Amino acid sequence: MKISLSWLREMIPLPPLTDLVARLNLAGLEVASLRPIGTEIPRELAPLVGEPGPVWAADKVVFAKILRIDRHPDADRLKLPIVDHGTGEEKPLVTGAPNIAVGESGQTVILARTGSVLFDGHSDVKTLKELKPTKIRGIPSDSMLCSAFELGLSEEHDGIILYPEEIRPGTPAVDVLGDTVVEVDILPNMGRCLSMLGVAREVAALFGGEVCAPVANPAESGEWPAKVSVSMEDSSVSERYSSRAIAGVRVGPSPAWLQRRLSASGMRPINNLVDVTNLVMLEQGQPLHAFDLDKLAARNQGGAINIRVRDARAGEILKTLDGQDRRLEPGMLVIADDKGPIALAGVMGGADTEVGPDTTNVLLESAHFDPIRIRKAAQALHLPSEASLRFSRGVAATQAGPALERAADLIASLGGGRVATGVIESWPVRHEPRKVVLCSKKIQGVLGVPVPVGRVESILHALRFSVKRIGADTDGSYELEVTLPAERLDVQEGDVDLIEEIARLEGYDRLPSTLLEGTIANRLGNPENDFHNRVRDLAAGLGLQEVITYSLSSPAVDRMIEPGLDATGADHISLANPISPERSVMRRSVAASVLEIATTNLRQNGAPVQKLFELGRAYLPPGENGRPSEPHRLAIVLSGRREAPFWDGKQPETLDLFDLKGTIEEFVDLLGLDASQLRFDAKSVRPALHPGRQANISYRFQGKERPLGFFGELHPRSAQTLGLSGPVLIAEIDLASLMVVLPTRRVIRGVSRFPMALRDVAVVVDEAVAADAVAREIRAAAGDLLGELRLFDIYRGPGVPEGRKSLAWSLGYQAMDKTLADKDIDKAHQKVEERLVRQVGAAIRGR
Amino acid sequence: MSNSLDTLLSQGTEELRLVADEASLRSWQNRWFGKTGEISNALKRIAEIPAAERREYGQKANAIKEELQAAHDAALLSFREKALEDDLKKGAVDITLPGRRPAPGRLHPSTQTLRKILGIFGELGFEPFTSHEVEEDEVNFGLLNMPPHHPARDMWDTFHTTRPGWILRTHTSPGQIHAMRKAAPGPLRVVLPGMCYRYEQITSRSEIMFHQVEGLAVGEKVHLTDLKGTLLAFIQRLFGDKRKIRLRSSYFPFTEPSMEVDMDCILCAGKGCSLCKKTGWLEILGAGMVHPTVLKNGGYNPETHSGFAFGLGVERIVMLLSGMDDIRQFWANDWRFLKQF
Repeated sequence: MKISLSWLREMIPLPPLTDLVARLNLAGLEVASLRPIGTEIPRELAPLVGEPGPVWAADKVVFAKILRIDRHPDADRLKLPIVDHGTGEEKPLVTGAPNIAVGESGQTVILARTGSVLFDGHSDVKTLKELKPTKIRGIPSDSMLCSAFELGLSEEHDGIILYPEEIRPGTPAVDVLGDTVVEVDILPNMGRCLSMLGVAREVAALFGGEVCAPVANPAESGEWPAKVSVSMEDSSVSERYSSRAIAGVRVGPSPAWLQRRLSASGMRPINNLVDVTNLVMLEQGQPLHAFDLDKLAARNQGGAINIRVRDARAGEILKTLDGQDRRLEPGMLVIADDKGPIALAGVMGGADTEVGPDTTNVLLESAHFDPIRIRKAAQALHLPSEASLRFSRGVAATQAGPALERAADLIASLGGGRVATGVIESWPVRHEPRKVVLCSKKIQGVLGVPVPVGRVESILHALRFSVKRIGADTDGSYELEVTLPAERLDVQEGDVDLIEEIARLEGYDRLPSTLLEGTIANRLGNPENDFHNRVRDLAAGLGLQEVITYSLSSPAVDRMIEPGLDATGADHISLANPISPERSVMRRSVAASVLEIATTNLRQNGAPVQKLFELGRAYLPPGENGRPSEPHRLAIVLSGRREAPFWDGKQPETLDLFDLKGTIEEFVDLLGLDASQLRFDAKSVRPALHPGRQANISYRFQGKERPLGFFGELHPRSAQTLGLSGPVLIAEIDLASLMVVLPTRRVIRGVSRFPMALRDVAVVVDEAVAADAVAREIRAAAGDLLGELRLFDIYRGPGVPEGRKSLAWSLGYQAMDKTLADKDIDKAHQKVEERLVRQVGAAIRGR
Repeated sequence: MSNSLDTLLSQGTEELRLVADEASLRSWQNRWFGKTGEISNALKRIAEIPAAERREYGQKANAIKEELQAAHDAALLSFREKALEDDLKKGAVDITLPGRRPAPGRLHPSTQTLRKILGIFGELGFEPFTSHEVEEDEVNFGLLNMPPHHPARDMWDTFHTTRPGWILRTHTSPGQIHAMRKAAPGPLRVVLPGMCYRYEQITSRSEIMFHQVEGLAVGEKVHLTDLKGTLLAFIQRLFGDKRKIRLRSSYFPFTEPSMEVDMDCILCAGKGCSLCKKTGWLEILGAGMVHPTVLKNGGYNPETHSGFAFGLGVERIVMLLSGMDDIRQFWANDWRFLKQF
């Protein structure tokens, strides 16, 4: 809402601008910007000014009257106007303005004297320049006649301002044309402030003062030029429809003051009819519409014009003012005559009955419409307008009357017509003013402090509520019956709405600050959140950088990891209104989005190494019904060098699958689980991964293998597609599954004080035998005596038969209670060797 | 005889003076202290000395031995010192060469700040409550006092899914309903952190996805003054105990009264600078008293219970604290950006 302060000042005395802006801001009318028109803005408000303009000094920029215009002796292009500028002397000037001519006289112009600072008329960009005495083609010149551009009024460069009305010469321009436009963001519950009157009432409540509202009682005369009736189909969607006829108007441009008000409010002047409806809407908040009554009569072949507010019928078409054919649907509210729709109620008029330069008889509409209907129609037809904005915020039925009278009066006085006798109106159901009961206990309950009854009454009075005491006690408690003014449609809930008004006007800054009383016992707890924090800490401790990626992705990206997914998003939660194809679905894979980041960092951002993790959600569509699941996953992606290159010239090694596997194992250990209970099932068949370098991960817990996720090396083909050379390692682990196997307590084993004896064994087994299987057999055979087991070499070649491999292990024997004797170790070691021969078909090298 | 001993000392000392390095010193030691060295020989010769002079001879020979030994030790020490000094000289490095840095893992800036925020509210008695991101329109709007076609719905540009009635939550507030329904009619103090979504153009100032933290307290004695005090405590803990706050009246459908909370600018303390766009204030939170309809929808009786709620954007706080000017950095995860946190 753009508020012209010169206009507002006619309704309510205003405090200094700085105070006004500060109070409006705190009271919920946030000032978005200030636009000075020739006025000076206090320094502290300068940041609010979008585009600074010239300040018209009262003694320097004044109205003047052209007395005559002489010819310049040497230049045809230049003219020498002589003006009266209120000092008694005749002032000669030099100008090249094309819109005055030698011999003319009597025009009202604006004169800038030496020292005025205005926009430089010789520059296309707006630069402020001080006017200095000069000579133009030999003739001294210390003043000039101003263009609209130089004054900062518009972009109009060509010619000087010829003001359409006579103003006494010497009158400061700022007194007539000067203004400050305050743009305020109107909150959804402050629809009443989408009008000058509403803002004036708010200012009165904040600063005091009486609002002077424009009242009109148009003089009526003569019959209606046509027979008109009005009615409505359903009084719940249109409570009131009022109309007046103005006959014999002459359509033409509006007077300067009216045009200026519209322009300041951001509306374009059109003609006196349309301008009056807009002005009254801006003034009172009630949108109006003007029909050409003769066109209506012609449509109805001179018969009765039966105007009806009704639901649109399927398939009806209305050509709106903008020339578009609109296909209407039931649910949209139309104004219709017997022939069909003539306007889209509260949204836009119809082209067929539009007022124009030839209009003489006008039918003026002022009505109430249901906010939701208007809002729906404006949205469906993509037709936001000043009218639909106000209707959709709610305009009370009572407002229709005064607005109609005011507009009829203005049209008749500006357009020279007569207001036909009588209002034709339908208003079948009139609501009683609503009442709300407000008690001191509730006020204190919400605000935390008591508010004395006198204070409450004065605040509510200022806001036009009427208040009656219905109960009071000596202890200061009270009960009030509050009657709402009609325009307070925002008061829906009742007493809390009023309490908000009390707090708002009292000022939140006057409330004390306290802390909640007591602690509460029934804590919900959030072990999941605690666990996620721990996982993030551990992952970072393992040298992984956390990333947070878009949860909006595309099927193509997820298909990097799960190629089986439907390419069109049928397996995803898909967006109905995506911002781009790359963000069209909710991701199913966290690893895939982390992979995208790693790729960008390695390829475009010059990262030597990427060791990333994300703890985020995957989003899985539900079955038939129910809620989608949003499981938390830990995704890890490693690629690049094991570390950044150093100046020692040694090339750091490339990260490989076992870096990732080791990270996972260490992570599991850090959680208090036992990495040796992890199972890596190489039967995993994810086509996106290297066929020989991937596994499903599970954890052995309570005798069962619980699936946790997968890890592997990206298929070289996929890596190549991404433009990555070298291995790309990815893992994804489901955190809910991991939480299930998490130990509730951690059992710490003692540390032996006795020495460890190391024995090696080289085990020759078939290639197909997994190292893990061998390790399990060693552990099983050695039992408690095995303090440490380490694989230290894998050998294939001379001495080992084709198709077999030699795994060399170092076994550390140790007991908790004694130093082991050689013969005990020999015995245990022999058991290990025997078991390996028996269980995995091993040959022991060197035996 | 004693003359020959005299020359022995000067001769040994003289020869030692010519020794230039540790290897020559070892030859010198052999020549003088070896089994057939000069000192042994001199001591063996004691048998040839008349008995009356033996004592004096012996004493003198031993004194010479000790003196030469001491001279040897000093020489050895000085050679070692010198060798060490040479080594140190050779071992000097260009101390300006870059160090070998460990590659630590880091947490994302949003996580770091989210934790700070949750930590402070944790100490104020608010526990984290996790809620869904793909949400029912009804919970995101309807139960929060925004029936279909409510004008306030325009305040949130919404991502709709292809399943009717399901959207991406536009704020953490639907979590209020879930939390209240779990706790009602008992008292409740929670913070709801999480990702929210807005259908917007991605620019340096707006993103389609951001973290919000919402706070909610419901009980029999929860007042607006408590809201003010809680937020003041939070802001002073996060931004410093000199911070002031200002409450401006505002509108949210799910709170009444509703307000925007500003704090005085962290850079200029209210004087006006580029961070606060010369206003002296930074908008930091939206807040209010829980609307009776929302309390009812959460399972509370608004006649006996009241509540307050507030919400803030995590990335905006990170940006304020770090001077960042491009919100797109958060989800771009450029390593050069992340390693600064």
